[in-house]
Amino acid sequence: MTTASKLHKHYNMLIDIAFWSFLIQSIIPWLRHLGLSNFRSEGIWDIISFIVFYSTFLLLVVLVASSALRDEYAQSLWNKTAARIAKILAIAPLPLYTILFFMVGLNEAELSQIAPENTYLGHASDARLGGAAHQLLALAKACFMIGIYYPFAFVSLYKWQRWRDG
Amino acid sequence: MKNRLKVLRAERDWSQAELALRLDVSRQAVNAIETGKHDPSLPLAFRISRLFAIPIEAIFDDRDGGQNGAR
Repeated sequence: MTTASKLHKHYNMLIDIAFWSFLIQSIIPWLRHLGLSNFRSEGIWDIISFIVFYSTFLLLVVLVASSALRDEYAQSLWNKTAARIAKILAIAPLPLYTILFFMVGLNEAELSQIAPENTYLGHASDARLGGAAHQLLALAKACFMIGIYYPFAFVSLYKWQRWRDG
Repeated sequence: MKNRLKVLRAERDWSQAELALRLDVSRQAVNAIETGKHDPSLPLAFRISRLFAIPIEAIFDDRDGGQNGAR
């Protein structure tokens, strides 16, 4: 077995591992917030969960970015996924803006009721920055969130394409 | 695109994993080609042809107009 086929063989397995690991780690704060999970990360568990989360994130990035890991079928699925993402990015902003428009109508207290405990909602000092600095900070936060969740969204769509073919 | 890959594989008593290994692709790729979900690239089609020692047109039939690989 060549190195290439070993990588091809493991690509889908790595996709599955990264997908479920990221999904579980993203869901836990919400479950805790809704009172459906008693798991609390403290001390060493904080460090372990941080390492696992960012390792998973890096794995997702590598799986999306590295074409050497894919055989031609995986590449064709990747191409289909990229095409779908392109369509979604063209269509999604309108409904997204509509949702955000209604969400900013809620005050911070209401937002804190529906967001998980570790979700950063901003604080008063952000407002004091004012003008361009405030917008830059908001842009940086948006880029960070997109950067974290985009590889996961890509892999989720890839998995869905694979499932449809299967 | 219709193909005889499954038949040719069965004649040699190979599993999908075994064929994937010989073609240097994943098992999922072999499965997708066999079920017509994926049209192989020209280099892979030639590898398949060489492996079974028969011409490409004896394995693949493009008369149904399938173009799955491009979609």
